[in-house]
Amino acid sequence: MAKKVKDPVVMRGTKIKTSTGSKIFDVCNTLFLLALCFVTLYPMWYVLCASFTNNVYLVSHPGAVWWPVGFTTGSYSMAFEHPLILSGYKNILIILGVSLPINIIMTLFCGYFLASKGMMFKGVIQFLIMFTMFFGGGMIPTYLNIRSLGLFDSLWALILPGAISVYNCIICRTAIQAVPDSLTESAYLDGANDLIIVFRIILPLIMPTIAVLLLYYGVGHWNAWFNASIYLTDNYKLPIQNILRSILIANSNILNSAATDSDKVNEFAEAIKYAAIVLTTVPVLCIYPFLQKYFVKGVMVGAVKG
Amino acid sequence: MSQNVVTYKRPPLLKALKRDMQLHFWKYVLIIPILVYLALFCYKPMYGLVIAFKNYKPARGIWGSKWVGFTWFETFFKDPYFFRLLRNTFRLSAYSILFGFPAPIILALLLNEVSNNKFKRTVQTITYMPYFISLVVACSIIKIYCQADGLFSQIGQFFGAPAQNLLIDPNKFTPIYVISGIWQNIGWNSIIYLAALSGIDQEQYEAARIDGANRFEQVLHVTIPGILPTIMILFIMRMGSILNVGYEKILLLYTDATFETADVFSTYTYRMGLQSQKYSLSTAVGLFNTMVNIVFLLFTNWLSTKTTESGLF
Amino acid sequence: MKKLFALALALCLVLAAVPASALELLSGADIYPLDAADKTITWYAQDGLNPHEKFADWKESPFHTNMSKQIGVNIEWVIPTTGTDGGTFTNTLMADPANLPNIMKLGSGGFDNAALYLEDEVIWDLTPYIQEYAPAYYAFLQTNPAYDKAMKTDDGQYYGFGFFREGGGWNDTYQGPVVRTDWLAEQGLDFPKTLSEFENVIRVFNEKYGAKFAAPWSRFKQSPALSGMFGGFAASDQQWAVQDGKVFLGQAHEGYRAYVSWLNKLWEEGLLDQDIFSLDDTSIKAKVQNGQIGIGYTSMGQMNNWNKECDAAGIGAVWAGSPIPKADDGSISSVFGGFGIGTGHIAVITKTADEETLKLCLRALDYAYTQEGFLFWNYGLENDTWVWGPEGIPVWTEKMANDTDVDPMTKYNGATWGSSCIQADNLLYLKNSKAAIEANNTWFFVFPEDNEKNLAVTGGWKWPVGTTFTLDEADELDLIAGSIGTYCTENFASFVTGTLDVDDDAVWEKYLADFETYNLSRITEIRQACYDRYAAR
Repeated sequence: MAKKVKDPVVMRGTKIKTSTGSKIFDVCNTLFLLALCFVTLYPMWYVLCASFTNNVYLVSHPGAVWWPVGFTTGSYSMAFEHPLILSGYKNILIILGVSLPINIIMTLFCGYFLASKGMMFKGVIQFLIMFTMFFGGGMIPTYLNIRSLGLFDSLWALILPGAISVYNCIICRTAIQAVPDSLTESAYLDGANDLIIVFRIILPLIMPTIAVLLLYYGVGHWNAWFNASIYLTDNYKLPIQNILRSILIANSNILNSAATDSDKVNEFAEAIKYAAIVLTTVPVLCIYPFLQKYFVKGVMVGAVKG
Repeated sequence: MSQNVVTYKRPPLLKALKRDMQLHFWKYVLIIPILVYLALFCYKPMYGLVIAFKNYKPARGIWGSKWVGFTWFETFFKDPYFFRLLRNTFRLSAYSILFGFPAPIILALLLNEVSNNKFKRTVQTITYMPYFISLVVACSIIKIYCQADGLFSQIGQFFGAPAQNLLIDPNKFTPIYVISGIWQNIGWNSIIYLAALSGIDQEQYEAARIDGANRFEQVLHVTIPGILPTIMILFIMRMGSILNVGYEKILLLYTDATFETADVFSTYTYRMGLQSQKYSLSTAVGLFNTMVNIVFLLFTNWLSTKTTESGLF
Repeated sequence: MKKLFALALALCLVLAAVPASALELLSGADIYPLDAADKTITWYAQDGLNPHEKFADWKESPFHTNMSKQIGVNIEWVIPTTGTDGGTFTNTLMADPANLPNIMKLGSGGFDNAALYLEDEVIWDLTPYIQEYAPAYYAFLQTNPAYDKAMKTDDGQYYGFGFFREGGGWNDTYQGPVVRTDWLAEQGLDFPKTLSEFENVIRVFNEKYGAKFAAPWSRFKQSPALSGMFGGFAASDQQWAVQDGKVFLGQAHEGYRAYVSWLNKLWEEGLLDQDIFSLDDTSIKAKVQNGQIGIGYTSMGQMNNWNKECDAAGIGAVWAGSPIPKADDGSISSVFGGFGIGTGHIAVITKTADEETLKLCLRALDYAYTQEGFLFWNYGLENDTWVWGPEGIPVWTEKMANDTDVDPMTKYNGATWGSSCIQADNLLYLKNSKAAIEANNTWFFVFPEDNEKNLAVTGGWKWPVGTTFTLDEADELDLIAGSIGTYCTENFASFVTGTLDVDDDAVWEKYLADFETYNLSRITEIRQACYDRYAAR
């Protein structure tokens, strides 16, 4: 399996010169991707501009802001005046810090087990794992379970129930299956046990997938709000998403079924909704480039060689 | 392992068990935390499924409520809207899969053909962003664009269509739902394929080139086979959730005039369950959903293992 | 303009006629504060009693903390976290009866299964205790037979403390037609009072300004909207009505047919905004500011926002409440309204309270219905947030008047949105702008000269508050009544947009006949029985 390493980009680059069809394709491809960027970037751009736009203008020009009109940071200062915004960021950081290591290690173990062959009980265990993908107890029994485990009104109620996602385990398994058997076999011969194989051999080889899993789990925790809303009673324990959701809902009547005759309005009612999105999205966007590098360059070749 | 089964006189079970434990000791150790987790958080509350067969009243608890057998299933199947809900759910899901499933794969393949790394990264980052716009805001933007004097209507008028609100036309609901779904998720969903692409052995391209393959042929014979296991696994799992059409986006987008095509199981149970506390009925509908999903999953899995040799189990 | 002045004058007269309601409450001066500061009761509140958004939690909220001192018992509040859907939180909480808070104040979903909860001993039957430990509440219920009727079961058991508006149904009519008075004046038009005048205003505004009739759908779909001028009782939302003791579905009524037929006519002629089905309180504002609406339908508070925002944007639009139109012969069957009673905000006492705690809870809840408690729940503490004004009614102190936060009174009071208390009319005057109060008057006083007739139109036609289904009835309705609401809703849309031709007798007959698929007769039967028991209380 050992092979020479070459920079993939250079390899592909030398080829492209030869064909005009290839050049036409490159041009079309670039144009298409640019168009896609425009279509997907515009809404984000809109959200960003709207969050800095004067509320009066925003109300009368829905969906048509190309530039912050009457630039103001009022909606941000209003959002930051919210008494819970800092504790919200703090709580989500705690949740992520505790959850992600658990998530990744459990998923890796589970994926490794599912990818291995020959165990007598593999069939049964695999069935037990997959079964939970489809069947669950529903909201009420799950809630009672959390209460009986003593997790109610504690951040553990947000961390433990989501410790592992079978879906992600299967993604992990697929990646591990792509690792050549010869590698693990030779490690066995060298006397390594499975724990060593998982961390020393498998893990470095599936880093792109681990990056994806980190992103999946991380963003999952980041975006989650429902469990916090039914398992917590203390506002100071809420993660940021719940705080921003309360800003979003308090300032839009769509989901605010509780108060049909309530007509709360503040001077940034519109703009603050967009500011809330910016505040929840920017941290995730900042992290992306760090994970991205794992799946822009291929890691397989170098690793296999080593 | 198979040669162990040769002796018939003595039951080999115990011996095989012992051998299995010795050989795979660490693998079992690794899986124990997962099994404990599943037992505590998934299997323990699973008795809750019985409320589909009970007349559940929160005050009486799950065991204290009365058994009603299949009454809720009957109610649901006899509902005048049952077939419409089934049809709509399948329609939305089928179109979402038909167009929404390949879209991120195509994006990943196109990105893979870009040689400028900076451009590639930028496109990736940008297409991934809409995923983070909350549905409430995304849908309010969609609504504005779909108004009679909105962007889409104006484009339509340019091509000679009359000014109209797109959200009151039942025929336009599915395209709006599917296209906006692709728009919001294409970048996010392509990430997993990009990861799979980066796992392809670069030497294979070189070998293909030596065989005289052009770029298109390389994609066909190296790239796609390389990510095919990932594609198939995701496809099987997607088919296994064919009836799971989330309610939030539909609630935000449908109008009284588009129930005909937009009302699906999840919005039905939302109205039934959350708004009028009929937990038994929603659990029964959920169970029905699951059953249909499993049938689809098993079928797709079977098809996939037959044709591509990659499957869930 | 003369006509406008005349109208304004008439409005002022009406306004002057309102506040003199005679609310007679017992004094609790010698009872409160109780001598029980060492005892703790837990009090759950879904919606309506959330701490003001400036406070991180209830421990910082003056209203919640002052309550303990006023009553003289330590109150531990349990409130769904901020941004949480109260209904969902309540539903999960109720799944664990052994851990319920002592007092449960439920939200708009209400407590429609009171009989079940009484039978299962989740909540206390208050009947044996109410006279002794909640005398003020009991006395208040006896002042109005309708109140007493609404707050007990068919068997005469008291189980909770409800929400009442001092002015009866006055503020339950908080939404109705609104019109741009600057355009009316420009066109020399008067406020439209009848169907043909109303239609005329729509037409003139369309012709002169290109404006259409529009409304946020979440409001316009609420029955009966404008169907009263056709003798109807329903719009899009499933609506049960009662006439002469007979229960019927508003959507299966001839008046409803005439109403949708009229809306369809406006739709076909392009006078009804095409976007109406997808408009909400937010998205309609763009149309308001861009002059695309001249006459519409919304709530008094939203109308107030429209005025404020038009003003801020420098648009010379002046919105005012327009009378709910009657038929050309002056008849009208229904307007959006109610009775001023809310079981939606009822507070019950759960069995997690032992008998001693029960008595404390009763005292704590009863406080709101005493003279002193009434003032506290509506205005906060005397000399802190309010003082007696010259006319013998409370006015805000400077502390309140200078508070620029949104709805600052909700920091100190609990009656703003509704809870187990009596909401003072004066609070609504203090809270709302003059234009909004005038609009409310315009909508509520359909027959200002005939109180009885007025009550019949604003609330009397409605399915009453506080009815209780038996356990069997509730179970049967669960099975058969699930989809009738959807049928009503989507056919309304089909009729208005012309997908179904409501003027075609065959279509209408089929629409009525198809109701049987949705079990209309059986549902009506059950409801009739339920209503009869209620009427016999």
